[in-house]
Amino acid sequence: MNSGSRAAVAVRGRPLTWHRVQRMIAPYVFISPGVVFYLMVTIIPMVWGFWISFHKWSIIWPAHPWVGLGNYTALLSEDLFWTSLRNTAIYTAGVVPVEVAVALMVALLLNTRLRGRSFYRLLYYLPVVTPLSISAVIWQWIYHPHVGLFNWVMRLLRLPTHDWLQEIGTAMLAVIIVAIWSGVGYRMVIFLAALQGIPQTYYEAAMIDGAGRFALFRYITLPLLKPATLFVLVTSIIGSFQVFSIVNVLTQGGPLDSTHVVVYYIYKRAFGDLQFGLAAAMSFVLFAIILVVTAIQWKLIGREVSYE
Amino acid sequence: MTRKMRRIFAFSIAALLVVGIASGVVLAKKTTIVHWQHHSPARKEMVEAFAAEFMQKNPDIDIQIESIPETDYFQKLLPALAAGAGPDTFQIPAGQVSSYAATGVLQPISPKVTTAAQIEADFVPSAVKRLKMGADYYGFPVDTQTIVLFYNPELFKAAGLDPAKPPQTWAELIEYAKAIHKRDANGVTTQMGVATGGYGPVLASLMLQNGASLWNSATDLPDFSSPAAAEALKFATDLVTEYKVEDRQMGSRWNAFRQSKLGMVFAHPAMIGSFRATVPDLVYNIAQIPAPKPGGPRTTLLTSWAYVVSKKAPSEAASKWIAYLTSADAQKRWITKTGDLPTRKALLDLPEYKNDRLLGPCMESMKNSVPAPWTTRRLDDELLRKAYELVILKDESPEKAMKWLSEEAIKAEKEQKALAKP
Repeated sequence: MNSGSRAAVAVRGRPLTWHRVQRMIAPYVFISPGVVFYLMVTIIPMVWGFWISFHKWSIIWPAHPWVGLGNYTALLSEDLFWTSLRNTAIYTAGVVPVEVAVALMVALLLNTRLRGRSFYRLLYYLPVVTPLSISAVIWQWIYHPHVGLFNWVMRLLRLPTHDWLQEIGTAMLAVIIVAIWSGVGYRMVIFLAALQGIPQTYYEAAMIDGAGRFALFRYITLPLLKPATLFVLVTSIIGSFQVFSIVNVLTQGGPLDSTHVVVYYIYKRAFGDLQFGLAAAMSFVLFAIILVVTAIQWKLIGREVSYE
Repeated sequence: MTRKMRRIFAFSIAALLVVGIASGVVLAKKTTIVHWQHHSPARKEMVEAFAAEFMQKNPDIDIQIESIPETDYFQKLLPALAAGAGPDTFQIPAGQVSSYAATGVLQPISPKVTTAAQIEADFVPSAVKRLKMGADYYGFPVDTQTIVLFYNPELFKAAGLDPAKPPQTWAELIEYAKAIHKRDANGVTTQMGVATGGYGPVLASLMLQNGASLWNSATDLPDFSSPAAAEALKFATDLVTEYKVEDRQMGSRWNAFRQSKLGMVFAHPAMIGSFRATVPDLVYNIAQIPAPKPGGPRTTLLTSWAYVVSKKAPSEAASKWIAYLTSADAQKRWITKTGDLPTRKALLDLPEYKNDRLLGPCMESMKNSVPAPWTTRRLDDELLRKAYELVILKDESPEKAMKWLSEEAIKAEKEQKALAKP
């Protein structure tokens, strides 16, 4: 035993037995399958993707010449990338605030002693578990210019009708509405769980002090929902920046790129045009944007959050 | 454990090992071909039936089929090929065969199965032109499609038109479409005259008919800048904006045709299979697409996929399998089940096809077909439609839209060429 080991044993005051070694190693052994899996499906592909972004990389071509920052500078002249980025920002601005607000309202409503609330909870959660391919078909009929529900309502209200998915001015709005419809249920569940975690005694004490309904919401519910709100906001914004499936099934980026979003563009450049190096560079630009936006949210809201 | 039991145990293990090795040897004699293709129920059923017959005729070959949804197809295929773990035979767009072959992931058709000279003797030139690199062919054509005009004879009759005389020229097409198109008192379309859908291969066919070559052989790049191409785009967009006989507010043109709410639609013959499966009672006819002027050419763009053999595949068995899938007998069955056009010369003039109300015009369209000269898939799938939308949604002039299309097409094609020659 060298002097260092002797010192360690001396500090603990007990000899390093096999049993103690086992106890030290055991936690790492238990988490190792998870760590290995996470490394395999997240960390290594991420590092690999970063490496690819510095190469001219067509997946099936055996040679992958190094191009340095070439793919990143090439992005500057990719007009459609910037259009897609702008569309993604519009999509995020349209989806996140409404989705969060509606989810909170529904959660508040379903947290009351409403008759049949389990049924309503199920109803609001249904879009989350409905396969997008099926909901897309339903929404295509709802948006149908002649026989669709939307235009029927528009006609009732004597408002102009639209070809919702085929007009430049309405296609993104149509996509945003479907995204909100399909995303509210999941966020509602999180708010609902957080609402049920607020002790009833706080409300009782406030009511004794004469607080009204709005005061209860403003001074008890809202502050105590901050951790859940932060979580919902951060995950909603990340999810919105990564939107793909809804666009893929409803509009394929059209008409005239008005619903072309970043991840859809990355997918097309990679698997359609075999430009994997360029697509990887786009992914890392998107990653950087999401990181900055999340950091800003954390800075603005995160420090006000108390988990006690 | 007694000594006797130990002996029995040891003997059993040894016997199991011997049987295992022996059966392994027997199985090893069988060549396995893993076949991937993008999914459609009819296509899957067909290929599975072909595989069963092929394995019966070739008991030493085992075919394993994987039918993958088209949206996921390349996401699975490309990484698998890159990892060297891909299928032995698979399908890719015919225009991309040269790119794939240049990367070394494909091998040519085995000369033991058929020779280049034989392929050229048997197949329609436009169907195999994009499958040759150097002196070798790298695949057999499949899912071969032209553009034809489907029309509803009942709507023709109701509009006072003769169903036996489909439109022969663009001017006639407009005239017919006007006669069929109906609106209600509020001006809402209740029955549509004609639809192109702004679909890329339809637009390219109209341009080719009108004399645009779409390819600059000097630069070896796409060229959409000719006045003939702009004129063809104007014809297609005028149907929407000027004559108003195509109304995008009618929604899916296929649904409209199925419901007898659309008089004429430009489409691939594959829609025969789709209509047969979804609306078996629908009455419709097929004609070659009308020419720009009387007696003009009926040229149509030929789009196809190709069955190819991967580098790692057992050459002869894999080539034999895809040759079987595209044999004359197989092509006869493809056309009846899925509407895939035959590409073997001998089949085009068979009386049962030539005299068929639906298949006759499709066979003629094969003879007038020209393969897409470009490699990039963006042209068919995306860029042509965008040029069309620039005119109908943004009021751009057809000339300006074609200038934009030319620039984008050249950029996309150059990118694909650069990939094939790093």
